[in-house]
Amino acid sequence: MINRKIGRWLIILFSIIVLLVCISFVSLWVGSVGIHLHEIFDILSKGEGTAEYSILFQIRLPRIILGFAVGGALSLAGAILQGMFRNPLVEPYTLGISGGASLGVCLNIIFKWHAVIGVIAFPLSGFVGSASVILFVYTLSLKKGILKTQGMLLMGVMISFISSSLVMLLMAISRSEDLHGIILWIMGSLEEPNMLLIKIAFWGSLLGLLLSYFYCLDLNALALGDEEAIHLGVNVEKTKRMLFLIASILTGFSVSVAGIIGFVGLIVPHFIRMFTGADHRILFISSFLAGACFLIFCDTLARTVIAPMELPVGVITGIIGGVVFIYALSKKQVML
Amino acid sequence: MKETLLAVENLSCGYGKEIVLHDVSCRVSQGELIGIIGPNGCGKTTFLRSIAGILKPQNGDIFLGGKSLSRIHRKDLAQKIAVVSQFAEPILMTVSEYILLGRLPYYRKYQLFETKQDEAIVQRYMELTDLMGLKEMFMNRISGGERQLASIARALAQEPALLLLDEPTSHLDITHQVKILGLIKQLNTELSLTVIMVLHDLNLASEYASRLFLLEKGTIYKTGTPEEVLTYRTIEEVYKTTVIVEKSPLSGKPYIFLVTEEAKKSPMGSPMRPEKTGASLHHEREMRRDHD
Amino acid sequence: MTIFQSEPVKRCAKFLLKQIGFSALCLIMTIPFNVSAKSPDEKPASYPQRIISLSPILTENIYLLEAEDRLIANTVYCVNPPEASQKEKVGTIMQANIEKIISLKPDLVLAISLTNPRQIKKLENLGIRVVRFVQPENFSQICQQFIRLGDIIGKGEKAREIIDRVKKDVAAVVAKTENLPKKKVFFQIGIKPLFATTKESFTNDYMVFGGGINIAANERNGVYSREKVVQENPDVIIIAMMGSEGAAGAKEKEIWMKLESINAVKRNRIYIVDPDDVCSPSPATFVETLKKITKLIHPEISLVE
Repeated sequence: MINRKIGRWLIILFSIIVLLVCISFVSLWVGSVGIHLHEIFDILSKGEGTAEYSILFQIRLPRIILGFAVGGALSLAGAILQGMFRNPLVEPYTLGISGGASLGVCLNIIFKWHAVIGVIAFPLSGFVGSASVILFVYTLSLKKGILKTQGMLLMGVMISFISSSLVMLLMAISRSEDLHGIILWIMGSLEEPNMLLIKIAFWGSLLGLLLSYFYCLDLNALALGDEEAIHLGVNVEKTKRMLFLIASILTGFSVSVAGIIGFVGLIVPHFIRMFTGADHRILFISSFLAGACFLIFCDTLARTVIAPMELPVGVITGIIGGVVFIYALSKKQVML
Repeated sequence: MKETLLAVENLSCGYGKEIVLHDVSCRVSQGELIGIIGPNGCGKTTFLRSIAGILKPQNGDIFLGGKSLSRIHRKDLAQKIAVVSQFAEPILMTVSEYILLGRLPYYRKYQLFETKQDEAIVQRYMELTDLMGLKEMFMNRISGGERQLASIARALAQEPALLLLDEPTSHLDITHQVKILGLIKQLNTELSLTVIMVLHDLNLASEYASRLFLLEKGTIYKTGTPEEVLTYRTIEEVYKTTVIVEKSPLSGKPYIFLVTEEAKKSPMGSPMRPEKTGASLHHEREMRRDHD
Repeated sequence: MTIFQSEPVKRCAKFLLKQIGFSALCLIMTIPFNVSAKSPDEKPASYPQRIISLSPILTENIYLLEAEDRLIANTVYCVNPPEASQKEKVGTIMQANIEKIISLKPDLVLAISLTNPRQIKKLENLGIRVVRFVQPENFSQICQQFIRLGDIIGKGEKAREIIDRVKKDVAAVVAKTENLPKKKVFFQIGIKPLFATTKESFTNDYMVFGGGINIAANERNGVYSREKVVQENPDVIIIAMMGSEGAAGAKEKEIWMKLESINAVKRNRIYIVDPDDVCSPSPATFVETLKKITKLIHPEISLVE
């Protein structure tokens, strides 16, 4: 029985990995500048320094890597939070983390901190903003050491509202150039100049995936309810805390580096659950890889559909994600 | 003399400022099948939750196998005590996966997958609870009774020394009531599994339990065999309602008949004095029997 | 239990340590890969031959300096002069297409303050020289930037020539208006919220040179209230916003016309002007627009040479 189950899981994993590799290759190859397949070997062997080499390895490849990291991180965070709150409508941004990050970046743009410390100010201010919200929501939800998930959700939603109102307020009184900057950032983009940040995002998301596996069985038990899980010997408090932290930091980092790319954290885990079921042992890694696929795909579309202009990737994830999901809903019974 | 498995000493506990149990003490020996009965709000569920280790005592202590509950590590406790709640949630999980969760307390630190032994154990209890046919069905597709059976199977998979059940059959039809309680009795006698059940239905408690704890307002009012505890006087004092207690013609255990307002009138139809106590009713029946 | 012994703090500390340790690990892992692409600081031996402009105004200026043969690409919004539309396109002002830019192998990319700073950094990392022009705050900055552009692309002399001429023209206008009684002007550049031009913008100079007083000159940012306009009672209201040529401008004028206490309304001196002319001028367009606006403020004078 277990062999059949593992066999099924391996098939699912294998398919997603194959898909991921294919999409990455296509993404590398396709772009507003056509690079022919037969040229690729030439470029790889002696192309260093040419424009084509730069395009492939210094423009497209970093975007693919960042897409992998952010897509994976957001989907994993979504899977974690949906399991933790036992609520299928929860996504990484519901906790107000993206609101905090937007606020941070807004303030950065308006007060021109990036003029002082360079472009790193964007992700830094975003991260500080999201970390503040995480801390705030977390400490307020702790009552006598017990994490109240209901209160947390409500608080996250409230913070989202407040942050977006504040952001709009700031937008209303800012100069038009700042305004454009804020809107652009909010719309999300995988174009990040700092390779160090991309690497941190990459390893960070993988680390998050690894850490989450320490708690995936506990999360399975939590599906029965807090008290039932305690009966099964699960340390419910510790599990909830750690998972919350993992999910928040994954989200905070993704939002800081790439702006707000919505729907990935909501839709991908749902979709994957239709194929894998709710067992978190397979759900976590499948969501991660599928989210990476999805984001890389959407980003490729975003930069080729109306080339040389580029659509914000968040728009594409929203439209495609929404449409595909509704189609799947109508075809198969959704596991919620 | 069987050894004591569970010892409760001067237990007082509750929720925050509200104390529900007051200075409760009792002992449960290995192999007993205890029924906890009492009117609503007397603290039955609170008592069960304290034994399960969920509610921390504010005063007094609970000892399992001689060791205080507070000193037993969470996971070890789950290997010794298993709890079956009143309702098994209709969640999205197959029956076999659900029962497998019962093996969680035995997983080693970084173990992710179940062992062959875990599977064998689950198989055994699925057979015992007659759920093999529903193995791959989802919990939200089977009936309430079947879910409750799965819940019991899951608790059994924990291979506990003590099984706690909170009103396991209150919302089920008589078929499932008999099936489930029969199974529990079987487990108790064949596997020497110590069982503590909270029961609403006094007759079921009488039929299946070897010993009863009658709770009232957070204290143990009386403890003993069903014959000792279930007398009409005791029931009237605690439940504040008139009943007639007779011997069951099948098992010889006490059987409680509820007395409706109508039945308080004479069976012949003549109006009697409105205040009929249990004593007078019993006296009446004795008289009639003697007459016949 | 002290605060440091409590569970959440212990856990926070553990987690922070994990994070720090992990970040250190990341940094170590990235050391061999930290090839910093050097952006050339030194000026090229010869002037740039392959120029990409990321702004319509810079494109216009290049045409003015007669260096359009070296302009290889610009944005989709660069339509002035019409020949500029024929050039290769590399995206919009706010979102340039880095790939396209790289494939064209430019030796100079011209950016403005609206250009996405992350993209500028990306281009610099890839070894492309990027020169950024901030939004000019007044006329003399417009001139300075024009000359700077000229120097960079090797048309310094031509630039100075043009600027001299332009300055003379502007001086001529100023000469005509400086002794006239100053009219109060409200220069509107936004509807929601109501946005006025302040002295931080070069549009202020239109009024200064044109013999007017900008009632919003000393505001901190341009957000202005209609009530304040009524209080200040300007003699002229000029509306210049995106979309003002269409319904939006006409609608705004209607709203003003209802506030009959304002002088500008009484004398029907509310004017709508083309925002393109006003908001991103080359030195040459500046003069033309200045003359237009001066005529609106002081219709009585003649500016014909």
